Amino acid sequence: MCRRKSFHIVWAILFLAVVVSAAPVFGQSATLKENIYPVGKLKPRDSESRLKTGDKAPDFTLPAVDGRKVSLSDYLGKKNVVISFVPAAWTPVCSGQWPGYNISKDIFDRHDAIMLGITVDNIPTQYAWTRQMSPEGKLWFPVLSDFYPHGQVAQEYGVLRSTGETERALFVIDKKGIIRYIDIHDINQRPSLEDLVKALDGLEEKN
Amino acid sequence: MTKKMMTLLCVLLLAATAACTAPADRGQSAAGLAGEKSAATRPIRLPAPQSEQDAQYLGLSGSGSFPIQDIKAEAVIIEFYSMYCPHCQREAPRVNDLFAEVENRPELRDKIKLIGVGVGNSPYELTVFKEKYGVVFPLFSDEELKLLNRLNVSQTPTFIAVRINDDGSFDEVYRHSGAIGDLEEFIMQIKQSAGIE
Repeated sequence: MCRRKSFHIVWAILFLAVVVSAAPVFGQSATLKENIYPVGKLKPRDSESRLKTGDKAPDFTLPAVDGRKVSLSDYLGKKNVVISFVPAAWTPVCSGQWPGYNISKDIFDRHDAIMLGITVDNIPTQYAWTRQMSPEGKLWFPVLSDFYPHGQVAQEYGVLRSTGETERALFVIDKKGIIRYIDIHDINQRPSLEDLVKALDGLEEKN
Repeated sequence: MTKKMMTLLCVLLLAATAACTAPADRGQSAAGLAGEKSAATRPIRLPAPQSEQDAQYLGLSGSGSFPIQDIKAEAVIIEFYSMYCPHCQREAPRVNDLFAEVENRPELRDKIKLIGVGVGNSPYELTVFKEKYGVVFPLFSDEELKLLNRLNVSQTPTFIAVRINDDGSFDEVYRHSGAIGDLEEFIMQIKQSAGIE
């Protein structure tokens, strides 16, 4: 074998080796983790409390993903309201809460309650994100955008963090518009469903 | 010089080919995935069954937590899921189908058992999922992610088949993440991997 020929064969084999060893990496699917940004661990809490139980919940009007404008006062006298602030779209755990609430509508119905999901993201972002949250492609509860003025409602509720996203917070507001439960949770953890249900159970006593 | 290089490159190519034939996501072997033989020998402990019905289905005598090899079966299919995971929600009816299919076959019914492990889900959250989807097979709570970490699970839903051997040892023989796909094929792969029938 002359020198030139073996030179080409060497490179051919090297090239093949690289291509062949790369194949498994490209072949594997990452269907379940794609589009989720690895946030890492954040400061559990990064805001100052403004409200306490017994306070009147500040009214607000925000645009919803479904195109409506939703006000808290829409529900006065009609429904108990659970507001779920989640920090940001497309990040871990955040993706986790609402899909769970989405299959818990029975629990809310039983307590004559509705849920309002709020983030500081704009509507198109929320739309794309929430479409991934259920097999049907939508949630049963309104998702409201506190995007502009940025985090104004979050600010009023004392849950706007210094870096612009909201806390992971739950507020339970009764039919009289009074705050009955506040959980400004460690942002890195998902609040357990039974704590929310206990809070809703607590409404029966006074409502 | 050329001969040495050729040998070296042949070795390289062989090694690269071995990497390519490493198991893909579907139907991975235990050794190939975990990379350590010792993974099969560390215990897999499950929490106490949620109900008498669950205990009976699994063939458990006592109450309380138990090692996986106490389950009276040749293979146990573990579905790692979460009530907060939309993919798991979508797949839930299918998993119920899988359960029904195995139960409907006299030759499989006592050989393959199916359980669900709710990662990061509390017992209460198990019942929400159970009621929403009419799940009949046993669900176990893995709030502290002990089982998730023990079996090195990074996605949900993930289905892992563990073969229980006669001597009381066990081996992971099959793993698949995502939708079950064709039911027949899935059951076939489980049977083949576990050496059933």
